[in-house]
Amino acid sequence: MIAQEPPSPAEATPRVLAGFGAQDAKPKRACIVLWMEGGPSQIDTFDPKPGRPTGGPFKAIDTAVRGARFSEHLPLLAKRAGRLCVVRSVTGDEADHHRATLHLQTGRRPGGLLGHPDIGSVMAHFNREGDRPGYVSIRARQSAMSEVERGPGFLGARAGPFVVEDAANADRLLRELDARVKERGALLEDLNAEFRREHPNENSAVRESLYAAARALKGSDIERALDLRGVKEEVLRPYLGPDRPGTPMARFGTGCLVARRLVEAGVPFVEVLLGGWDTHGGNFPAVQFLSSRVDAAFSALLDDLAAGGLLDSTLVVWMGEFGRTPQVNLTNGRDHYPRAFSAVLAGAGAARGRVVGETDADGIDVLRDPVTVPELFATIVHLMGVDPAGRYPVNEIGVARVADARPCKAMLQ
Amino acid sequence: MMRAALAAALLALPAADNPVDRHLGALWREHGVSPAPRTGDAEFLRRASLDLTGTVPSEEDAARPPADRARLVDALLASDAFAAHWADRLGHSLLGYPRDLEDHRINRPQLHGWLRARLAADAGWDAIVRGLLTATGDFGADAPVSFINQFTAFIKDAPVLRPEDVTAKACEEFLGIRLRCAQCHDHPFDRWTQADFLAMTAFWRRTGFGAARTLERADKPFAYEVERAPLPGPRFLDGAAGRDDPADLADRVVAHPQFARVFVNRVWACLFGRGLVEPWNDFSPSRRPVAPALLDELAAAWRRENFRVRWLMRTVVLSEAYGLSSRAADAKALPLFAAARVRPLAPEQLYGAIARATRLAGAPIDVDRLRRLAGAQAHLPHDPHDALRAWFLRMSVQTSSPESPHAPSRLTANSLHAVHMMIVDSPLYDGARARLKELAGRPPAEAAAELYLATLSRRPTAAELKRIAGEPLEDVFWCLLNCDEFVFNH
Repeated sequence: MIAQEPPSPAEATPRVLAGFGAQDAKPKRACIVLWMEGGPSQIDTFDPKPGRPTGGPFKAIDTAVRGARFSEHLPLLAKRAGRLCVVRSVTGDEADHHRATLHLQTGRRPGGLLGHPDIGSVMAHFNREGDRPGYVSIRARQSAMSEVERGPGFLGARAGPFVVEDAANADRLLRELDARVKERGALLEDLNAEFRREHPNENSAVRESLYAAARALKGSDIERALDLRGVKEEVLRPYLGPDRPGTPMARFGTGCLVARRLVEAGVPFVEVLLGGWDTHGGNFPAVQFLSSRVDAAFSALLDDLAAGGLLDSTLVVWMGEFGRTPQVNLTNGRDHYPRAFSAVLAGAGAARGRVVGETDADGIDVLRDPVTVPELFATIVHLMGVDPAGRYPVNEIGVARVADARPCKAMLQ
Repeated sequence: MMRAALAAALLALPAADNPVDRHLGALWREHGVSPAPRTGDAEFLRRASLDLTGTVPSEEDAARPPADRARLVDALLASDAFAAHWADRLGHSLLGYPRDLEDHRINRPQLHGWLRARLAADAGWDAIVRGLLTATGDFGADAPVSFINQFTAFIKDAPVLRPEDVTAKACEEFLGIRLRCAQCHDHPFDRWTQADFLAMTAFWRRTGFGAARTLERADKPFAYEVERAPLPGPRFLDGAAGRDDPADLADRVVAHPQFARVFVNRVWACLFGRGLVEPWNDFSPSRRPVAPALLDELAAAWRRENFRVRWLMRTVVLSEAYGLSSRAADAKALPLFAAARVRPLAPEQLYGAIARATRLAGAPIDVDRLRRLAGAQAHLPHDPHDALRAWFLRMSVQTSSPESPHAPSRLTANSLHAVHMMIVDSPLYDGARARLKELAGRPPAEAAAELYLATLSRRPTAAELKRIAGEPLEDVFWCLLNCDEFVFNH
């Protein structure tokens, strides 16, 4: 048996679109994922173990949820814990960055024939309008770790992300596009026609949708949302914590502000990346540093969304591909640990002021209410307003479900 | 039955001398698939130029594509451009693509030069891998230490080698074995255990950074190694005990049956757009090669040829299978390599093609504009042309398939890439602007023909000339550099 060629996304997309009109009836939702690339330490953030051998040097502080404590470096979030659903019992078994990222982001283990879409692509697929990207990825990079390849998979490039490299200048590139972009685009399509007729292939379809998306961005409200030139300093300030605007460290906070503006402009899904969590060495200074940025930006985002009346329809998710070992290693770091880690949700229909699940005294195993990675994925999908049990027909190969597991009820309101 | 007979008739050719064609021919007969016709000489010229030298043919060659493919391929393989291009591709695979936060422990130009010299001298891949694994010293000693140096952590500002990372990378890159999962627990479905992983890292016990902060081989294990729980002695993947010396590791790596297979598969993936095993460096038991006997025979033959890279490239590129057409490819033919793919170019190839087609080498680069596009934080090389190339590679990798240096068959770019290409006064088109100035005043049909030869390696059709008549030449040039026929290999 030879390996089957994966289905062409160009063929997959029209067939998948047909038959999903029923999703339109639901209220419009949006989702912002704060993706903590590298695997954030759960013990040093949302699931502290003070006084234990695995606890590390950070103190634990009380939060607005009685009995729940966070690391001392998350004071603003501690005050806002009443808005949060902290899941301490996420459990997976992938310890490789690439595999684990795909596991979290697609709800399945990687491998197998189909390239499954990541969360943003799922949302974009069902909620995108015309050629406008339905998924914006703000890669506020602070680490040199390699980016894992993930994206729309069999849903095709139309569901894929528009990537913003630098949130402070997100629209900088779009401003560089001249006015004749559309005319030139028309000539390009004509010159492509003959080649495409003689060489039908999936890659041409991908390129066509990329160029169409780029043209659709020019002059759109998405471009306006990315333009921060008119934004007052006092609006940006709360997102930045100790950092000054325009500095490299301010990228994550600025990205969160941009995410809020994009959701206001009707973009269904925004991801903001924060790297640097892969702390195999020197875990504690790094986590303290990153925590203060997360504390400020995540808090400011929640406040802004609530003030704008958007929190009830916007899901915010904080997570990485795995957690980190309770045991501290020889270089004062923590290594990869998928067995028991944390994720935090807020907004939309997520439970408020609740801690789901529990790990043991040292954070080694989940004691109660485990949430598997596929279940976490299914819950996020559900909270985004997409039916996790829904199916995509994927050519003749068969039917793929949106999610392979059921949402976790304890995480819902 | 009829189709099998037809396929057999098409394949009753002297090409059965080439193991590629012999095995694929059998595969096609078995599946009742007939191969696509041979591609034309102009298309073959473009394809082989891109794959072997990383750029499009010159306009002179494009105007008169040669019929003698063996002679053409030999000339391409003997050229400086071959060594330079493959030093690039391999270098990017070994070190990853350049990022914003550049690591001063690696010296990319030095590693490039080292690889290039060896490829130009027709060295074997085994000699190259030995050199990479056993390197010590600083960059001045012409040792390719960058490969090992990339796996450095800093503890209180002192460099410390991370042998786990060296081990994981070496196994993946040279043996196609993903050992990394075994670092934290036993591998989910492969047979490697944590103990296997640790035993492999022990080959590096006496390798680390000395007082001079350069990589060295010490007489005793480095201190941080001794502090760990008693390490198992070095043990290779086959269970055999070894010495804690990378030279011993290198010998065992080269002798391992996967060594030849994974490089053959890498080359195959680069030349066909898809490996016999996918991904090219993940030979886990759950994956089966498309044509296992072909992979094994090519690997064995290449080993007998002392792992010479040029021999392998020549054998594959001169097979009938490599020279098939990509037009109207039947979906059933593609997984069996019975037709050529329309596949994306690697970033190095796309840049090389744009550079040649627009005569970028002689053009002035607008460095201020480049810095504006690249962003204030970007670290770019000093030389403007090097800076433009570094920026383009980084941008391509950030907006498309990030870590694959071998241009997978399927384009995974995002729309940011399209935005970059659509900025018509980007410094990427500085060569085009200069060239358009030269063409001003020439009759439009003549100017267009030159641009078509430079970009698509062919003349425009009558229909194309009609469509572009009246359009600004600048727009036509931009379209030629952005059309599928240019940016894809086909």
